[in-house]
Amino acid sequence: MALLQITEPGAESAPHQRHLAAGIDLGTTHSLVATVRSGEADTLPDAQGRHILPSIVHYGADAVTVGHAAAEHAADDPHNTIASVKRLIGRGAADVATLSGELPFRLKTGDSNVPRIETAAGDKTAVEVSAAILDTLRERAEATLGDSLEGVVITVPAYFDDAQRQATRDAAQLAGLNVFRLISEPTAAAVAYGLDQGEESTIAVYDLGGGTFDISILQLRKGVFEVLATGGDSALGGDDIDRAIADWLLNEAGMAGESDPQRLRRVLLTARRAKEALTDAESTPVEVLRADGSTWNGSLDRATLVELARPLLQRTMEACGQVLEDAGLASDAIDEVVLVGGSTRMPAVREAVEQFFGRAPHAGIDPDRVVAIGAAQQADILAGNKPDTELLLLDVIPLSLGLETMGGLVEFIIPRNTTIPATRAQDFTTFKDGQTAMSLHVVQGERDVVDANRSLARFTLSGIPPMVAGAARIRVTFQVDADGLLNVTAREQTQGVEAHIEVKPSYGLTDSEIEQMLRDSASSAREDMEARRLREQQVEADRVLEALDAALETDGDRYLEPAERQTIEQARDTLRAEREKGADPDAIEAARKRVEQASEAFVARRMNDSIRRALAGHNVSEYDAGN
Amino acid sequence: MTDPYEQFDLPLAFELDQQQLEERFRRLQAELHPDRFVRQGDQARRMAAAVAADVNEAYAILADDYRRALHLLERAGIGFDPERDTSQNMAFIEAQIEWRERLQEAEASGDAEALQAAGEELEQARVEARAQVAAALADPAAPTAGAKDRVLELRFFDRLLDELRRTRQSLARPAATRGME
Repeated sequence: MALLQITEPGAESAPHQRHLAAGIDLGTTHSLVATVRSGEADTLPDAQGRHILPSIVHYGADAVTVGHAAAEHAADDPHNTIASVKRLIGRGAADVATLSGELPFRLKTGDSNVPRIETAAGDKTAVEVSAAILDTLRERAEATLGDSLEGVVITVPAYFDDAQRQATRDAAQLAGLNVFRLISEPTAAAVAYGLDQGEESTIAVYDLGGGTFDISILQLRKGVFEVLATGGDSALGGDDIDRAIADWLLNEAGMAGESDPQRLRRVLLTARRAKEALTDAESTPVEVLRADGSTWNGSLDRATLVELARPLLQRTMEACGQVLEDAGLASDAIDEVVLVGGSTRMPAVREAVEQFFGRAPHAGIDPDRVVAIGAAQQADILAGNKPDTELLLLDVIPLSLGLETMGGLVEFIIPRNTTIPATRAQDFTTFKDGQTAMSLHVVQGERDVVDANRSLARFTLSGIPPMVAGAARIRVTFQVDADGLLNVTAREQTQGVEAHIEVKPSYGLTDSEIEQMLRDSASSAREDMEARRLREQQVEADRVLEALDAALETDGDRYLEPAERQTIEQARDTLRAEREKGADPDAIEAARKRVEQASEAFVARRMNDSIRRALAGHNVSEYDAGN
Repeated sequence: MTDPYEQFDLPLAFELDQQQLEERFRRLQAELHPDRFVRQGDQARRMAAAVAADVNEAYAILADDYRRALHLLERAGIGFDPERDTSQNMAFIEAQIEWRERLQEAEASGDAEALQAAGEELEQARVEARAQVAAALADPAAPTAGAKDRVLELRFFDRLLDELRRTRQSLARPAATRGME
């Protein structure tokens, strides 16, 4: 049975035109952007040749800087230098309160439950700080590629819940990025090594970054990536190894108990360089400047480094053992091991991982860049640059979604590891006569008790027609899209009344808050924004024009009456003229919206019919014969 | 939602060709997944998401013995609410109680080997229960009179095996995995 190739998603009217797309690894300590050029995916450097962008934003009174420039302010202006913002994104005031001791900046909670960071440039949310990082990466990609990006794939940790994924998407929107898809970091790493092309395998992704350790067990079955278990330690990483080396250096140099922050920073830097040197060398000279101006000269060899790193590596191995147990697997059940994170360059780490899993890990790709590279490959496919590829990444929902029921218990609507997109509905009823409203509390997590899970949103349904208790039937539908984002709708079934829903996200930003942020960022650099908006609208117009022309050519005669076609073509020509004029982004946008409006029925007919055909399983020749 | 069998164009039968089922699932997703429509506009993408969700659900039904059997009963017009409607078969109710007692004892003793042995026997009983369901649904259009009880028995074994798996996991490991920072 050959299924009909519907709507030719990859087919292009201009086959040689490449669609610009990028993959972004938005990390806790650093971020990268990668893209596919000449068939090869690689990360993009900045003007100084640096690929890694430290995930740090400095908010000065009159300038915002991102990355290396922002990092320089960490010592002299810590309150306005925001690092590790990923730990805050999509988190509520209560979560963040437990973190605030570890964070150098000042936090306060706003009326929307989203904590704000006080800076010299005003209060900032984690979404805005992340958007500043994404914006820098977008500019880098566009400067390198010479044009606007059509879309990006952004990676998130496998365990990110709905609120954290939504906040990441909000940040992308704020940075003017069109998100093709969010994919999980371990999945991206596996994709970079081409492991998604295998039939069936169990993959361990060992990710030791600067300040976080994640271990994920993925199962690939027939192209579907399932996250069997994730674990790790959010406060363990290569920085701890640097500290252990620094302590050793201080001891050796007779400086134990040193408290001068500047000298400590210098020793830490020496420690890091020595660690990096030992990736290739067996031993490296080290020099420490004492308080009295004298210097201590010594050397650090690999054996000593291994000893210093041992306790930390031991902790990561314990976490590996635990996730294997969670996944119900023995360590020899792992078919592939992938290394991610700069700290996995250390030979001692590789050896420990190899010993634990009993097989040599994949390490051919730079472990700092591997996630961004996998994301770039996926973005390239989604952009339609590989029309022949059958490759499709299917994800599962990482954490169960449910509703609070009587007694603070959870009724699970969509269990974890359900393949997404997914839709599930559940019927509820009223329990009082004449009841016209109902509140619902959406939670995510695996525990039976509401309080042990993440609260995502509270809904109030009103406008239920008054009936006797138990007579109303309210169908609540949970829809999870391909990114793992939840959308909830409710409808009273017996009378067909769409209940009004008031959403109060427990952690996320409301639409109006995001709009306000967009306006704020627009007014701060109006000219830049105008030029950018014009370019974005032109790209968007091109996308619509190209898709429409292709659709008209293949299906225009089949689905459109001559008059309908004329209306669409008129709207299209207006859009093309506005786009060519290239003067007014608002005019282009309005013309594009008119095209979309005019072709709405056309799009729906094509979709419906192609879905019907694909589902019915008719093959192409059969269809053509009947036409 | 379209009937899962029609959606996957598979013959109406309890026993399915697993390879064919998976191959069709991949093909349908390859064509309908919203990823294939990222450049076709939001409207097309939303529609694709709804259809892809249907395909996922249909696959989940077809890939699971119990859910597939339940669906065939529904199609034959003898569907029931599995949460409220329970088995009336006294012999099986007694068997259920015995199974539960046996597992509880093994669990209470904390004896991993006893749990292992019980688990293996339970697996075997499940294989038999599945064969019974297959026989009862040999003609999917006309299930046998006892088909409903057979399906409920299969569900009992599935659930008990699931509980056993979780018990063994929690015995092997004292604490929960990831505390969120």
